[in-house]
Amino acid sequence: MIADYLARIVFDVRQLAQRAERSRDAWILIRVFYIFAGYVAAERITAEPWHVHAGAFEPLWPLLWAQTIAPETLMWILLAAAVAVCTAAAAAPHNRMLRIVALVSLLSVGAFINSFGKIGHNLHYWIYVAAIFVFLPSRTNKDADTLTLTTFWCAQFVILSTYALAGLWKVVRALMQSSEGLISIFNVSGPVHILVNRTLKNGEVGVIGEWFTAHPEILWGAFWIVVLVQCTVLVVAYLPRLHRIAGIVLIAFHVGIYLAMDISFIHVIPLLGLLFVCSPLGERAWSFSDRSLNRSETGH
Amino acid sequence: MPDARARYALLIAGIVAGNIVLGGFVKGEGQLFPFFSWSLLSHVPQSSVHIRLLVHTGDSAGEDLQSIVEAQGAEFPIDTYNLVKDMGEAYLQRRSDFPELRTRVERAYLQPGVTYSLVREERVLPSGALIHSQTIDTFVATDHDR
Repeated sequence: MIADYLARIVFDVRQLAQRAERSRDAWILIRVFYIFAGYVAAERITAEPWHVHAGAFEPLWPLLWAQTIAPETLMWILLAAAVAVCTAAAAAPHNRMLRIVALVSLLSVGAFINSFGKIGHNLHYWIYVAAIFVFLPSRTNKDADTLTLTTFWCAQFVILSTYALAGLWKVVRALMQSSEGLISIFNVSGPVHILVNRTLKNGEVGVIGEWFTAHPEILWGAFWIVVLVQCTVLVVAYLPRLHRIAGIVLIAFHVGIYLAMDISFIHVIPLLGLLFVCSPLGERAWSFSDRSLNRSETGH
Repeated sequence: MPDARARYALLIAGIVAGNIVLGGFVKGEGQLFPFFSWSLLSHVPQSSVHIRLLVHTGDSAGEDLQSIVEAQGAEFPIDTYNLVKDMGEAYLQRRSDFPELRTRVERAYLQPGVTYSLVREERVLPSGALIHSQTIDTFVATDHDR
């Protein structure tokens, strides 16, 4: 009974036509995911001169085994492992053991870059998706196509849920602050407070941050558009025809945040592209694997 | 297939519940990696309060540690900023983790014998004008096991 109820949360991919073709596209995207994951892990772990912060190194739980290793040495070990394992997973994505090792590798890289005093979120999404991809079915499973697409959908749902949580909490927090008579995002000056405080903390301002500071009404409008998109975006999981547009909107959202606040979440953009702009569950205007579809679309 | 969908539902419910409980409500020392901190940018600060660490050389008024770390090649020393903030807050709140945070900051960024101050600055928003600056305390870095 509970199982039946729970099952309803998950989008039933059997209502989609051309599941075999969609599944083939999904596997291509999964290969690309691991290529990008290896690149993002390598880029992130080499982005900072860790020797500057070496004395602050206190490893998070996935790296407790590495407490006695110097951060610089550990960085090279984790870098080599991430690139090797993610490349192997891209080459043989059907191998579950490789997918598990790739997850452990990404988790370790994420733990490393967050072991110096601040937990950031650049790799979190990649780790979630890698964790969900562990549950991809084997090729011999009689429901392989359906389960592949369902697993892909779960990854999409989890990523969208983080935006929904962030949006809903902004509204709850605004209600709490305004009920206490404090400035909240309901006030036109609220988003400017957030922007200026962030600038004072960073010591840097985004390309259009100063302009937004001088035009608080426009920032307020843009902020609320973001909040409304975040609050409603989870619905998109159940409307595959909106996947592509949702992916573009979320990518635009991150570009906008970067330009306004200099908060770089650039590493999530290729993931949004893979999961949503190229969604194998969305409208089949084109396909990686189905050439006839591409020919008919281009008129050849 | 319904059984499989139920298993997938449990999987996503587990991750989402983990994010709700461990990502948003628990911050700082208790934040559990890799859960997602969804409270980011939700709080509107009424004023801008920051804690800075000023390193004194000779009779100088002090150089901001963040600038020193940036000059050493760090892109944006958010780790440094957060460690100093945690240390200052722990001192002001007389928390038991202050000695541990002090050791971590000194071991990472300060030579033994260096004098430094923690300064709490408050600025009015949205102008950013400084309205209050208070030296929390002055310390001498000790020789930690490096």
